[in-house]
Amino acid sequence: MNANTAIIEERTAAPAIEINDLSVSFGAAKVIRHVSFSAARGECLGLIGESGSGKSTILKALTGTIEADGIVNILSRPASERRRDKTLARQTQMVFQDPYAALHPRHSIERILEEPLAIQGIGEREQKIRASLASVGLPIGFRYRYPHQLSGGQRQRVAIARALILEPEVLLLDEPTSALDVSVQAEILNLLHNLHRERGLTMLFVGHDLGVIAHMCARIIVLNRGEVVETLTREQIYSGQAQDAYTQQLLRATKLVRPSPPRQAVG
Amino acid sequence: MSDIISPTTAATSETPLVQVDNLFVRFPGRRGPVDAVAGVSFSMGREKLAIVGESGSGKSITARTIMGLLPEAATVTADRLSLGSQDLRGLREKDFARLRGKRMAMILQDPKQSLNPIQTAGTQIMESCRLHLGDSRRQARERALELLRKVRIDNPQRVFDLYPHEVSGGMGQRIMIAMMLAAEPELLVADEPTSALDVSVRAEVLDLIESLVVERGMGLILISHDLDLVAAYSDRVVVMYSGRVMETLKASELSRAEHPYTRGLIGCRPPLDRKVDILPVLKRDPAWLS
Repeated sequence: MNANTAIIEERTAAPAIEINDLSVSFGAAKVIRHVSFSAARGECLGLIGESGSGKSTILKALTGTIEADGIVNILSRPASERRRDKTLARQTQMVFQDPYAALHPRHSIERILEEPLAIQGIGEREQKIRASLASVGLPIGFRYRYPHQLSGGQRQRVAIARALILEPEVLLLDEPTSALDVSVQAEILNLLHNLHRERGLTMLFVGHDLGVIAHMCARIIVLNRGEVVETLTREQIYSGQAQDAYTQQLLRATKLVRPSPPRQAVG
Repeated sequence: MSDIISPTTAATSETPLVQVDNLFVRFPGRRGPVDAVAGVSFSMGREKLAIVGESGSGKSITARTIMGLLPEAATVTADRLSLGSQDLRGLREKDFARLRGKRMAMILQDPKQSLNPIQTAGTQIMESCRLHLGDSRRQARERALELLRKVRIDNPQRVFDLYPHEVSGGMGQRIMIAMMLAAEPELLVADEPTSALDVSVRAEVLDLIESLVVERGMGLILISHDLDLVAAYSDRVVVMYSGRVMETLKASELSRAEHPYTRGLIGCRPPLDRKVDILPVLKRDPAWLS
């Protein structure tokens, strides 16, 4: 018994996400090179990069869906076991970028929410469906609707509800607001912010928008061409302090289109 | 008099380049017709006009109406809808086809989807030159290379022979721009031209569009959901919501906009210089639609 308690305690102290010397190759192309980072329990960690930077590949490694070299642990267990181990699958859930593609078009919301419960053999489904819809701010009547009857923001709420219904400890967010209008983005970010705070979830927030990611995450990992170039704090982003040349360029590019010094009108 | 169809007349300094007055675009819906655009009016000269709004605001439909690129189910009515002195109301597809490319051109969001995947960049630009300018093959080839140079491609000979899947998003968009500029149109419509591009490429493409438009004295309709982008790259901004114009204002005055919708759009973005706890959420007022 004592030994068990010791193990549990050790796990609580260990990071929720631990990536050490991760490398991934597709054929001859090395897309991830010696990436290491970790996220503490309850942290919302940011991962920012442009297309081709390897952010999606890292998510795939974390869900155990690709072959990878190096250590990829979630809650102190190898992520590659996720496919064989239902418990690990339950503990790590993901929300995708495009809510139009992520929900089965011919399944009702109820069926969409019920499926993970059925796979995991979890009971009290009725109660859980009600609670999960409520937790994302959707009326209970939405359970009878189909995805095409919902707006983009409402669909993303359903996708979040589906991820949360299994009460995961780690939530992987792959550009969860990139496909949404700014006003809807604000609603979803507020929802994620509250869920993070209330449930003590560990989140990995992957994105390309510095403003969004700094809003959500106190610590941000900058990825470029498969390598971690820098780890920044939110404050460093706000004050524009980056050491790495690529990060500086990213900050400049974002701010060039951002705080809008209006150009002179020509013509 | 503006009702007479006269495809050859160009916009003079007195006639606005584009004039839209009380435009309605109606689609049949299961529960009766839906007005995707409901009473939109604006007029522009050879300037950079932005139409900004969220999805479903009718910004793209408005631009597509001008381009004559609406689905057949759409019904268009307007008190005025013209390009220069050319009335666009009731124009047949054949006549629109004559205007498109030559007098007005359009750049879409994703070059990967708008370029022909089985033709090289050069072939596609050449087609534009041959179709609109009646170039011979040799002339078209030279012009295509020149256009690639104009869109700041360093090695036009190499890019000429590349297929769309072999180029980056930014490069693809440059190829699109080169193609659209071939016939030197008076009006360029850019519908979310950088939304599919990485942040670091976005500014380059927008700078390019801006400088080409200004250099050639063209009119630009820039459609975007991004207020910062619009503030930086246009002269005037039309703010649309639910098929209607909420307000029209100078781009330089965008940060001082008074309409609650515009203010809401500006306010709900996560700021880049300070942490806010909860983001303000846009509250839509039914009165905006009256």
